[in-house]
Amino acid sequence: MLNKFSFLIYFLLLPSLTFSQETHQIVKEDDFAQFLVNSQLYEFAAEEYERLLFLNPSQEKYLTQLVKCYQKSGQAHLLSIRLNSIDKPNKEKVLNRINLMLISNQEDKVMEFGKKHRHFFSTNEFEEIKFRSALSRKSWIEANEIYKEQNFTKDYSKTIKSIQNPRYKNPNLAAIMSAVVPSSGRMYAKDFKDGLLSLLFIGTSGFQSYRRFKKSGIESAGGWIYGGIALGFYVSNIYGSFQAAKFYNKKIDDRLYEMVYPDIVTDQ
Amino acid sequence: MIRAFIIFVLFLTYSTLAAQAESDFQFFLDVDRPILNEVKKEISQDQNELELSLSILFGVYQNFISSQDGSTCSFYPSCSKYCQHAIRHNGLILGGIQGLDRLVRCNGLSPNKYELDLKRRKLIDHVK
Repeated sequence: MLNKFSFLIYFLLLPSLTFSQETHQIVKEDDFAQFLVNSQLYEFAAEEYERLLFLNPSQEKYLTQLVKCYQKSGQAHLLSIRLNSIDKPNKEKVLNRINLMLISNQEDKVMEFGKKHRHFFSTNEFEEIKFRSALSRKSWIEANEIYKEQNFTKDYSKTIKSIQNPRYKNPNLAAIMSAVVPSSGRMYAKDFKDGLLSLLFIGTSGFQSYRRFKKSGIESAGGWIYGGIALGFYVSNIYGSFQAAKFYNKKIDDRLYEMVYPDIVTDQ
Repeated sequence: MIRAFIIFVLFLTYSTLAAQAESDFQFFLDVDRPILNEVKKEISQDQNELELSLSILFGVYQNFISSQDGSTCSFYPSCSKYCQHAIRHNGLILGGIQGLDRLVRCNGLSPNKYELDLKRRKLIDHVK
């Protein structure tokens, strides 16, 4: 009887000595999420940050991390939903969201979001958001116009200087140039290697066609075949020159974007 | 005696030969190789007789001609597949022009213009 009683007491007291494993402690979850990010498991890390944000909605640093994870795991739709839903908005939160939108390829949604929370900003501040949005969309002309009309507190003169008159190549001019002199359009778009090869393709097939027509007259089948090939390459070179100029312009835009990037993500 | 010697030498020669290890041709297995199922899949996307006949022609080229020299194209997808996709998306004229332009660009001289597919060791260039 005594034995049974002592056993019972023992088993009743034992649980009071144990403690549960604290797997959902915020610090540990934060560490685990960071570990997942370091391991490049962005989808799982995003889930962890969602949980952390649910437990601690006031921590905007988790939102920043979450946005990065969604961006890196290619979940743009979730990113958009997450950035647009804002609980108890205030100026700081809205600005943080705008910053995150600007750096996570959600530039088109910035103005819509900004207009929704327009009452938090003065006219000058709102114009600054518009200016940064234009920069992030690589609309240099629009950004220039906004800058001319407003007096921003922050000095953007260096940015404005860099985005004024970017030296674009005209794709239509490149196409016309290639139509007149094959490959000259590609050269104009500074695509020298492809330009030279294109000239070689057109030149050799064109010369073969000419040689065969000269040898056997207009009835030469080889002449027509090579002529057709030369014509195909000639037309494709016009298209290629147009694309090369567009690619050149894109490269210029990307370089300018890198230069103005610090001003896009600035904290106001 | 000489015959015995020759037989012995030939026997020894065979013993030095090693069978082709899987790792020797793994690279060729990894690259973008057209297989019959893929051709069938491409054909199923065709919407008219012209596209179907072109798909069959490209399929024959990919399976019986291009497959014989390994993967020599600089790009992923390969030029023939790009041409096929271009014709399907943009029609015979513009697609054909895009295909010919791709043939000119397939030289590997401007790798900085494209993204690199590290697994396939090819430059990425899809139809836009």
